[in-house]
Amino acid sequence: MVGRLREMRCEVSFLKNADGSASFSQGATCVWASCSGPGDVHASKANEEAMTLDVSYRTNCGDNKFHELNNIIQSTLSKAINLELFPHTSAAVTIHGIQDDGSIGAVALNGACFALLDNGMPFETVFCGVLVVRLKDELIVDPTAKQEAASTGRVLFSICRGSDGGPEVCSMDAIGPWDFEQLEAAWCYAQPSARAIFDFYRNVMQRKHSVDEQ
Amino acid sequence: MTIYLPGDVVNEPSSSDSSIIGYGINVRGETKVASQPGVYRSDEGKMWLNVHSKRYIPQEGDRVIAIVTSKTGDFFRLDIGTAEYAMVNFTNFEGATKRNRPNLKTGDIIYASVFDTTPRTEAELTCVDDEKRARGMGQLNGGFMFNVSLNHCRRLIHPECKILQTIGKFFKFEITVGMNGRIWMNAAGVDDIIKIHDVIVKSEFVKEDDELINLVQNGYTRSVSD
Repeated sequence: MVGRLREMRCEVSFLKNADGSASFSQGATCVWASCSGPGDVHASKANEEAMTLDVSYRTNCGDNKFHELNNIIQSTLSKAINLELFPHTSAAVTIHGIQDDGSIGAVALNGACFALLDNGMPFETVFCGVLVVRLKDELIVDPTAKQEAASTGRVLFSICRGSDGGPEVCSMDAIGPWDFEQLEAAWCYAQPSARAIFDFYRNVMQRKHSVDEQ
Repeated sequence: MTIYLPGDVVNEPSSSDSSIIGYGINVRGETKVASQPGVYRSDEGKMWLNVHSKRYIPQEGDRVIAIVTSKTGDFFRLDIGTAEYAMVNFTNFEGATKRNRPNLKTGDIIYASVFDTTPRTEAELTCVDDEKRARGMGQLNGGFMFNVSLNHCRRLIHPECKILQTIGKFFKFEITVGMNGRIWMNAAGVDDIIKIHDVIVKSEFVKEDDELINLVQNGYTRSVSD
């Protein structure tokens, strides 16, 4: 059983023109994420009751109109952000996959959370993504591309921090055959990783805010 | 320094006697929950989080720098960096009457204060205080305007912040800092404006006083053309 995350690196306020942005990497997997908003919205997309959330995951090449990661990112973000706070506005969250060495879905979610934190927008709770794969009846957290390709099943947990401070499943995307016990075991492995990621968020934000120590 | 992330329960010893809950903190029953990432601050019965952000959300009483985008009837439509445009009535200028309208054109810059931020409506601004005096507000002529992050603006006008004082020892300039992240300034010549702009932008992550003095000194001595 391998339950360790690869080394995380992050630089916030990375892109000049976005309100909030981050360059985040886990091992050799790297994304650039940006979040702009609450901003002006086109009349055709405007919602009188809530904020319009515009999520797009982009790869380096190919058709970027639709991506399977958009769904899980969109559902996580709309749970994490109280969209009714800013009616008639929009927020654009763009995640650009720079290099994919496995667990790109989890890294994209973490990058999105960093972009949101850097933006300073009000939202309910921090969230993260953890990918667990099954390789020859062994569970691996945060796999590399090689391990991911050889796996017989993978499950992407999108994890929110609950009111008690512990991780809670927000949404989840499973591929391959999983039975209940295996899923339960995968969730047990994902929890310490989620805690480590939440601690990492705190460290990075602490460094960002260290400028007003005076 | 304690940092709070969204969803954290704010649990500070001094928070029990704080009667005013400010920016970034939500009250849910008995508990106070942070809704934005920021550093905890408290002062004289007030508590709030110091949030780093680039996007301005209007709050009543803030002094902001606005750009006139159009004129509609009795109102000027203003861009203050928020999602929606803000409005200012043309009578809310010093010396303005129904006959004597202020002469503002599209693209002009004004310094105004926010006085109405009812949700779901446009924010309303005014260029006069309760005594109908401008007190520094109104149109800003000439000069140069640029954007920095909101926390840098707050830091610049903090009484203990040395940045503007240090720049003032080297340059002669006037400056207006809006809470919406915009800074307008004017100096003797274009070269000075470029130098001061550089120093202000670069000072965002400078903590030490010596480092700051070095930065301003370098900015002062280097020539603009290189």
